[in-house]
Amino acid sequence: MSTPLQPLKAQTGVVLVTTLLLLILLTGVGLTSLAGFGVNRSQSQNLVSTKQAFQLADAGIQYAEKYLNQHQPTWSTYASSTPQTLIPYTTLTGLGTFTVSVQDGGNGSLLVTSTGTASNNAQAVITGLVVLGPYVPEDAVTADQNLTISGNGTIAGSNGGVHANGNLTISNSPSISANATAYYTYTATGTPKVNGVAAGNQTIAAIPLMRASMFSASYDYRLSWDGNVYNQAGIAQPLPGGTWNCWKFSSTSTITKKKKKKGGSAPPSAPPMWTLSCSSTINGTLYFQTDVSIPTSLGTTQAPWVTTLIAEKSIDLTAQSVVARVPTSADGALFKAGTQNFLFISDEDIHIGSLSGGNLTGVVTAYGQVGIDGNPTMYGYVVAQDGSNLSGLVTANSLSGGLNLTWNGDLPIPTFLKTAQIKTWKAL
Amino acid sequence: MYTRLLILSLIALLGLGSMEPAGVNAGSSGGIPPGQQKKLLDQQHQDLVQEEQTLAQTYSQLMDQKRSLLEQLRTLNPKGATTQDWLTLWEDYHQYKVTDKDELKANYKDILKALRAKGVDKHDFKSKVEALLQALEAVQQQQDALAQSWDTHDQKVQQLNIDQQNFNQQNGKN
Repeated sequence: MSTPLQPLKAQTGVVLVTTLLLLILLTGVGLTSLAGFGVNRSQSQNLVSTKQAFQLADAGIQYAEKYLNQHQPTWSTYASSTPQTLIPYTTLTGLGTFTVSVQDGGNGSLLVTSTGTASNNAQAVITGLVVLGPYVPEDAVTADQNLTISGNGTIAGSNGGVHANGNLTISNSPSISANATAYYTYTATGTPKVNGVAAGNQTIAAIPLMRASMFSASYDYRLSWDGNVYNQAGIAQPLPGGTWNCWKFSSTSTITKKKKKKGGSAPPSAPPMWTLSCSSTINGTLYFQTDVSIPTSLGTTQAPWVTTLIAEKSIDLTAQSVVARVPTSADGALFKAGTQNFLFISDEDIHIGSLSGGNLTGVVTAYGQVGIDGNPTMYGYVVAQDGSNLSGLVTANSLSGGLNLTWNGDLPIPTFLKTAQIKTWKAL
Repeated sequence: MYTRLLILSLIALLGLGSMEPAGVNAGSSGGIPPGQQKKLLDQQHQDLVQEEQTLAQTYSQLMDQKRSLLEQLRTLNPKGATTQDWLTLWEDYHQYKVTDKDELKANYKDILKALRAKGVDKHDFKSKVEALLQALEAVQQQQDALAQSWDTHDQKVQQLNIDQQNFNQQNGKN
């Protein structure tokens, strides 16, 4: 069956025109969106690059601070009137480069300028004024090598952190109010409570050299290797009954000395030692040319022992309860600017053990190692410089007791102990 | 260079100083008055304190140099390697240099390869790393020399302890 062809009706084309217009409109909207997306993406990329450049410049400033700290003796050579290169182009793989210049910043400071360049040539410039300022550690406990915390102690306060320039190992469940960091590795096998950063691979903590002889101008009395006690004028003090203010001399120390290596000949000879033999000793700054032993409790909250102990050998505190604090300016002649806020300074080890009570306030620093295995309450900070292994009193830095240590970043020490510090900081 | 000179000076100083305690020993049996013996022992004590201070300063400088070199190594791959990784590489490199054993060399090369970030030129990376490792090796040699100086110093301290004990016993201080 065939259908006869019908004549076509006349078409006006309204639908076609409308569809075309709609298509053009949609295409326009689409193209505009794509263009906008491209602009946004470009803006995002620029933002990332700018941020990277800024981070690179900041890394340069941090690096310069450490570099200058390590080169304090040549500080003056950097104080030129025109900029000189301090750190040449240094690449941070995947990020970009930084370079740092340095010049005189006035009043003994250095002006460092760090330029960070990200991968697409985005640049950021930061300037910083670096000064040699008094040493103030970031943390309540700092060790220049490894540190082990195996007790359930509490490190509290705004600067209640711990840092090791070696490895930091934590077992058990100590409470740490700030950071727990290490230059190499951080290992926690217990359930420590760390409020700040808990990690390894962190930046190094600068520690100035602190040794007994650097403080020898500040003592009230020197307890000598020869069993006598001398004042600053070199006048020997009376020793009634062989003791001086409860300090008793022994020509041979009972503190363990370093074991000889295999094949070594004679066992090490012990140095002399001063021992606190009763509880009514003298306040003041005492300089020992020997080992120091404190097995006797002394001091009360109302009447603390006001002292600074400086020892060319080790300090071994094994008393049940010692309440001691550093002299302050309110103590008149007892206060010495040259040992300000130092409680214990030792060229070898410091051991604080068996303290079931007591309270110690001040800065504790050993050129060797520090071991705290009692339950003392302390305010201040502890620094183990790890430069010496001559004493066997403490073989590795450790906090193994129920130490309760608080530090809020105060207790300034003498200004001759300096580290490089960024004073002001500005992004250009 | 400065540190190397300092180390050499130290070794010379330690070598020259090592005869002092024996001199006092000889003196104590040779009838030197106690006052003079005491002065000599005091002087030796001060000399050893000063010597220890110098050794400590040198130790600090060498540690700073070592850490500065490790920091520079760390910048070669800040995202992909830790300071511990670089320390391990350095220790392996040192062992391989000291013993010259093939297996240690292979081990070192494996670690070196693992520390290189993707897209970084192999030869450029190796050249930069080995320059820094060589510098670390030089620091290590100075640290070894310093350790010997500490041992010599320690022997002198031991001798002085004995001399001081003898003096104290002779003078009724036990």
